[in-house]
Amino acid sequence: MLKFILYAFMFFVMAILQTVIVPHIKIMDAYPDLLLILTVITALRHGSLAGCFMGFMSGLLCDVYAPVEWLGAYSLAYCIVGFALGQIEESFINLNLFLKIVVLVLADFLKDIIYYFSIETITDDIPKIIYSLFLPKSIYTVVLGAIFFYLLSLKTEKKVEIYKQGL
Amino acid sequence: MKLFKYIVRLCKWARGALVFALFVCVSLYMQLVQVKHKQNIVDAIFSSVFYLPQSVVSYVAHIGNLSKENTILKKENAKLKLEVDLTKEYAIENERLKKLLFFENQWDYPIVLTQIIGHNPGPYMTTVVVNSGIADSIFYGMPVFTTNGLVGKVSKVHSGHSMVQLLSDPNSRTSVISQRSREQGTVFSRDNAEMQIQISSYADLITGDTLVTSGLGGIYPKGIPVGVVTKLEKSNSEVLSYGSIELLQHIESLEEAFIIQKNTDWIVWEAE
Repeated sequence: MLKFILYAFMFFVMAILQTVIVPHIKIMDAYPDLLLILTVITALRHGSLAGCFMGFMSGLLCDVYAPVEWLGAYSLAYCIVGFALGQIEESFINLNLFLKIVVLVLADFLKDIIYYFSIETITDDIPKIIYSLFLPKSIYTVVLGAIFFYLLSLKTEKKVEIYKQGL
Repeated sequence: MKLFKYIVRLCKWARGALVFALFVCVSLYMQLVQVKHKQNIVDAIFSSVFYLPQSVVSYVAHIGNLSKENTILKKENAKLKLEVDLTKEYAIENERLKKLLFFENQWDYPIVLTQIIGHNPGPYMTTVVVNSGIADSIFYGMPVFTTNGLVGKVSKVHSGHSMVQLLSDPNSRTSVISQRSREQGTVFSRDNAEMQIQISSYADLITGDTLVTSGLGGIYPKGIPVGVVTKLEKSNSEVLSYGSIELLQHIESLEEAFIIQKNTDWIVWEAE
C-alpha cells in the first residue's frame, strides 16, 4: 500500500512536471517524456501489472491533453509498453545501466510507433518522421532517463550494502 | 517447490495479462467511440481521475504566469493612465469648444475660429501666434477675442499664420467704457505686469465695474468685454486717475480664439 501511494505521488509529480515544466525546457521541439521514464521504471521494478497500470494512467494523462479525436491512442501505447517491459522485471533479470537505457530507447520507439499507427498518420515518409520526431525526443528522454536510472541504482546499491552489513 | 514458484509466477502473469487486456479494451473503446462521446470521456477524466493533478497544474501554471501577467498589466496600466489623461484633456477641450459653438456673434461680422500655436519668447507675454493667416482672409488689425473677453488684435499677417498683439503688450492702448456708467477710459499695460485703466478723475467708476470696448478706436467693435475694475487709485493730477483691472480672458490659459473679420476703420486710414 505504501508503495502504491509512493508511486501515485511520483505519478502526480511527473504529471505536473510533464505538463508545466517540460514545455519550458524543450529544445527545438524536442521534449523529454517523463511519464514514459516513470512507466519504464515501474515496469522494470514491479512487473507487468504495475507497468501496465502506470502506463495506462500515463497514457490517459497524455490523451486528455492531446486532440480529442485521438483519445485512447496514448493509453494504448503506454499500456502496451508498460506490460511488455514488465516481462523483463528486474527481480528475474538483472539489467545494468546501459541495458536499461537501451530498454528505454526501445520503449520510446515502441510507444511512438503504436501511437502513430493508432492515429493513422504514418503513411509514406517513415524515415523523415523518425528523424524529425522520434529521434530528438528519444535522445532527450534517454538523457534524462539515464540520470533517473543512475540515481535509482545508487539508492539500490546503498540498500544492498546495508543488507549485506546486516548479514 | 519449483513448481509452486512457477504457478505463482504464472498467476501473477495471468493477473497482469488480465489487467492489460482490460486496459487495452478500454483504450480501444475510447478510440472507437464518436467524437462527442470522446469529449464527454475527457471531461469525465478531468473531473474525476485527474482532478487533483489538473488543479495543481492550473495553479502552478497560474503562478508561472503571474510575473508575465504583472508586466503586461503594468504596461496596460500605464497605457490606460495615458488614455485617461487624454480623455480628461478632450473633455476640457470639448467643454471649451461647446462654449465656442454656442457663442452668439452679436457684431454681424464674420468670425474665424483660430488656434494659438505659439507665444513670443521672453519673460513677458506680448504676442501670440495663431494658425490663421492671409489664406483665411485674416488681415492686419482684426480684433481677436474669446467667449470670455477681448484678447488683442492681429499685428502681423503671414500666409498661414498671424501674430496677435495682446492687451498686455505695453504698446497696446484700448478704448473702453464702463458697462454700468458708460464712462470712457483707456486700458493699457503697465510694464507688462499689471493692466490699468486711465480715466477722468471725475468719472463715475467703482470697483467691480465691467469694462467693454467702446468702439472708438476704429479697431474693436463696441461691446466686447475686456475686464473688471479691481482697484481705484487716487491720483495727484486733478484731471486723470488710474485703476487696476483684471482681464476677463487670462492670456496664459488661451488655446483657441475668434478673429473678427472686420477691417480697420478710419484711424488706420487717417494714419496712412
